[in-house]
Amino acid sequence: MIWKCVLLLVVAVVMQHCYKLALIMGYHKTVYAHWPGKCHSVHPVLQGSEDIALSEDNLAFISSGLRIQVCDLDGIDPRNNEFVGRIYLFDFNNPEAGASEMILPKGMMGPTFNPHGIDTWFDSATGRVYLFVVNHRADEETVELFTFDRKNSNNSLAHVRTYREPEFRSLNDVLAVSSEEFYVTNDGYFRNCWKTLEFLFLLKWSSIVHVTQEGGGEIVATGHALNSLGKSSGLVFATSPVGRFLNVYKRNDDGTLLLRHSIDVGTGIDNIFVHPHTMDLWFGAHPIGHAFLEHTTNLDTPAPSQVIRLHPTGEQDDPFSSVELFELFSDSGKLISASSSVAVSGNRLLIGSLLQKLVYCEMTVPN
Amino acid sequence: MILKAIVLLIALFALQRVWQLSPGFGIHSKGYIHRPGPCRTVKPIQTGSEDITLTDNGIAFISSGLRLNLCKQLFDKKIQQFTGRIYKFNFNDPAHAAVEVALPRELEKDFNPHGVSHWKDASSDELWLFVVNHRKDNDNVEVMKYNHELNSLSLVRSVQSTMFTSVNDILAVGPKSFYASNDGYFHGCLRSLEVVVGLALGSVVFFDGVTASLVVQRQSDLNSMALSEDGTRLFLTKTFEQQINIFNISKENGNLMFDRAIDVGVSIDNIYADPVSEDLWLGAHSSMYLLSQHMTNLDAKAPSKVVRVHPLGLEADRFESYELHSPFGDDGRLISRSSSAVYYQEQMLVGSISDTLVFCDIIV
Repeated sequence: MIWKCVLLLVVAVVMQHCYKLALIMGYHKTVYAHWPGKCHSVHPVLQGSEDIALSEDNLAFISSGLRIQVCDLDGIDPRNNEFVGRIYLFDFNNPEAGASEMILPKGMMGPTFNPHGIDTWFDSATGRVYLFVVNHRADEETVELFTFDRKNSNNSLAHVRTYREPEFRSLNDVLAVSSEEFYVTNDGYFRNCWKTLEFLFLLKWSSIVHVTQEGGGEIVATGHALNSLGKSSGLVFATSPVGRFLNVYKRNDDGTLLLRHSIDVGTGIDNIFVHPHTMDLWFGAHPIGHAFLEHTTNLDTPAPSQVIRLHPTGEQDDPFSSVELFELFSDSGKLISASSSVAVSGNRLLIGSLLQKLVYCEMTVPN
Repeated sequence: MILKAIVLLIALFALQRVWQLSPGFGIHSKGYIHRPGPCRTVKPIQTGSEDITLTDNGIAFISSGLRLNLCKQLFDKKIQQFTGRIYKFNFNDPAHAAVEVALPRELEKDFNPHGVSHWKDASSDELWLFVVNHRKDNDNVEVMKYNHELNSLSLVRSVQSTMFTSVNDILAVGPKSFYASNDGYFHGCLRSLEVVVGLALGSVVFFDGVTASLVVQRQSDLNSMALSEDGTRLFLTKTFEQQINIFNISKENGNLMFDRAIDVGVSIDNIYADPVSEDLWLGAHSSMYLLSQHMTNLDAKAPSKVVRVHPLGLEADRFESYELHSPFGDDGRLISRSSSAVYYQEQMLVGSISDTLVFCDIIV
């Protein structure tokens, strides 16, 4: 009798878990195309534009060429292993010029350079732009710090420092707080074949690490598949594309984080862009989980893309207690597959993808 | 032993029905907001604009004030106070409000309009309006003549038939002939049972002006109809199954031969076939769960969505392949429970079951 009850319970738990996975996979979802205005691909980006960081003067830094395989058995399209890590520059003040490849320091090439999330920090005293880049080196996870001098650089990045911390396990995105202090996400605990199990069992083993001026990393938050980071007036944001939610944290003076809200966004939001003027949050998103996975196993299979704008509507002391969600861009994968990032300047939109193109749109409709 | 088998069968059947109904139920759907251009509500409509029929010169007739006869006890009591009306909106003068059309005297006290359609005589410009009317006792199809100068309707004929079990939409194919879709059989709260169990009690009736005949039988979940530009094909929406069924029309007797079904991926309501582009425009409900909440409390917003199906196939089989677009999405702030959408010269009207009517300029 007891055994029957236990069996029933196990079956119920397994069924409920399968239902959660089915929702993540999005087999029930359909994508409907609509663009905010004229859109076109930005030359010459073809091997991904996973993350975009916008500087004060409307220069967008784009990480490209991310090689995502962490396990021989994960079925990633072998062409992805040949991708070349690059940083591109796109000038919103001159959109017709396309994206230009930045000159990287010696040593930042081949297996040593596999860029993922990026963020900028502007030092108003020196006029210098600092660029933090998550780097999946062949044997270790690091964060590279570069500087960019617009006036004297001829499009090159100077390497300042490599950060290595034992807390860096499976890095995804970086959030600069000063030229010497930042946060990073570990999107999971493992960065090998165990990652698949971490995903299947929906384990909440991802974390946010705070790296301080004094050195050393400290885990300040954990959660389910945390991915990208953003900040705005005392708040820190973290997305979860698998969990389809946005976490809103209060940032304490000592750099620790306190979770205030976990907002269901209904779609796989990836990298976050905090609008410098409106404070709205913009996301590149993956609306259908299984289509995203199929695209990573075969680059020729299109995956739908989506850009979401989240507008906080709560009171001044708690703006994210209620939100409105807008969908600025939706595509079946015809124009761009697996949109992972977005940057906004005026009524122009730059959309990045995990493994494919970069797209520029004019937003004709006020949305 | 037999009892255990029966219980298992019922459980499996229930599971299968939950599986089939849950995509349409949309518990996890979000009503993302997006617009094709500037949008606004059309005065003075606030108690529904369930169906819209559009003439070739840009005049839209809208049915308003629908009081659905489905489990009234659970619905918001305000719905029973609605007044049935027909409004007219002119796409050539969109800044003007919608104007109420004078009803025939015979219908003033017994008018609960649902689907609408029209027939225009190509040479004389005479216009007939066909309206599904849920009268107190049964469903009738009112065939009315429209007077342009007086902006009024006169009753030509009130068609009754025992084949009209629960008429939803109407499709005129001549000044006297039409197709009528029955979305089910039972009225009142028993309809929920029909939907949940999936009883195939819906049908399509063809009325040639004299006699009525069943041209589609034993179907569930039927809703709205539209005609292809050349008049040879009929499009029929199925709401929970999220499909459009395409039929070929027999010229001799109006019979319908099933051709293909296309998946639309969302719970669709009324359909409009654009004669110029051949696109199909649909009002849709991205969450039937939130829709049902809105029915019990009209102040609870429900998301709205417009879907445009663009055919890519060759002339012989236009919808063999197709693209799905969505020009409009709303969380209910502007319009709740969109049930219809029509397009005319880069403009769009979106109707709702019990809420507003929205007009949009389409600039993207």
